[in-house]
Amino acid sequence: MAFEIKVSDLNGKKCFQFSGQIDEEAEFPKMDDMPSHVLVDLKDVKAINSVGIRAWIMWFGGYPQTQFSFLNCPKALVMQMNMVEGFLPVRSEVLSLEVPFFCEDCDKEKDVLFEVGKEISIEAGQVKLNFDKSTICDSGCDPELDVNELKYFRFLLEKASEQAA
Amino acid sequence: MSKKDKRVIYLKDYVKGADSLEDKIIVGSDIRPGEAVNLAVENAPVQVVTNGFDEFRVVKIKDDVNKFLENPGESLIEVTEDISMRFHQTFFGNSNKSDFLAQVRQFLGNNKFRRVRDDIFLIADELFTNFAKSANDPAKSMKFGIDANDDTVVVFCRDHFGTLNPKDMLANMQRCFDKGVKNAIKQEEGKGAGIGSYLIYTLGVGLAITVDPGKGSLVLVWLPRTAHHEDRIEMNKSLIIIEAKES
Ligand SMILES: [Zn+2]
Repeated sequence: MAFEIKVSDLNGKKCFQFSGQIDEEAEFPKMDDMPSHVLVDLKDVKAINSVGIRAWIMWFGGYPQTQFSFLNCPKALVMQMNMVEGFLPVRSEVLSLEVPFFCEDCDKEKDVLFEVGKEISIEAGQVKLNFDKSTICDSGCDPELDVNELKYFRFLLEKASEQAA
Repeated sequence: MSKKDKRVIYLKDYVKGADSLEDKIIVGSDIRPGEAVNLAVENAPVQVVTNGFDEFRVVKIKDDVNKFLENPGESLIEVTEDISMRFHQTFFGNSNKSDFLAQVRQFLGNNKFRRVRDDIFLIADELFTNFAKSANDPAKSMKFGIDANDDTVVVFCRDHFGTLNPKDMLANMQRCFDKGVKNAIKQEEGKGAGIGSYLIYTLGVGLAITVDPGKGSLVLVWLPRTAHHEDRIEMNKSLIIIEAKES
């Protein structure tokens, strides 16, 4: 699926909707009038490869004055946020991300969107999760968080300590 | 495995300057991933092993490199009869990457692969791109494979012309460890992303690069099937570089 950026307005802010695979085919447009605050919706990003990571870092790095707020980050990008130092632009925040669950009772994967400030909070340098398990799968099911809770959200802590410094 | 095996050096017993590490299997219990790359760069060809199970694997590879090249997955892990655990695909220098990746994605849809899915997809993309580029010929064929059992998933790509350059791959990996990915990217020239080999290495727990110039190359990664990505990337890595000697 080819990479595409659609520009729209969301709550009075410019919103870039990224979709498809971020790879060697992906073209990031040069923006002459990049606003000071931009929302970036990543919901439909399917994958990223090494060339895509490079293009991503170079493109976001080209707008150091802009604050980027990322929405709906898929797992494939959360992984890069945790693994590739400098993947998140200096002035940026993550507002919501996909969190994988697995229900052994129905042998099903459930990806759930968590919002920072709602299901996810940062208290005293630690990530705290607050969610209602019963809404994730069928009633009577006991789905498990399918990541290492201490490490999956670590990029949020690093960002928070970076901004506090 | 006997400790008397002449090919094996335990890092705790190694005396710098007195012993040559070239073509040895170096076994250490806490060799960090960047350190393993440094050892490989300084002593190529070399095999760096970070846990007991991999020591057994590497000795097996060294015992019969040809068998390893012909059936990489089967020579490393016990494969099952279950076809949902096996994906083998031939592709060519001019094959369409999107079609190839769509098939990989479909195979990985099985929830047994949920914890390695995104990473194997990325590895498949990197291997396809790297091999198709190095083939430099639309008609040349390469083989991509995924073999898995309950414990381990092996991902590999194999060609019959051997143009991959392990030294370049190691140098790129070393640069990422030394300078960090962001700086490595910034200093890079051209459009190619030198971080591909670094990603492949980091996502797995073992990487083998075998090259016989003009005859064949194999890049193979193994991953524990159920470890979480965020745990796996921090694990120590085994690194195996086997280059055929110029005859
Ligand atoms: Zn359920």
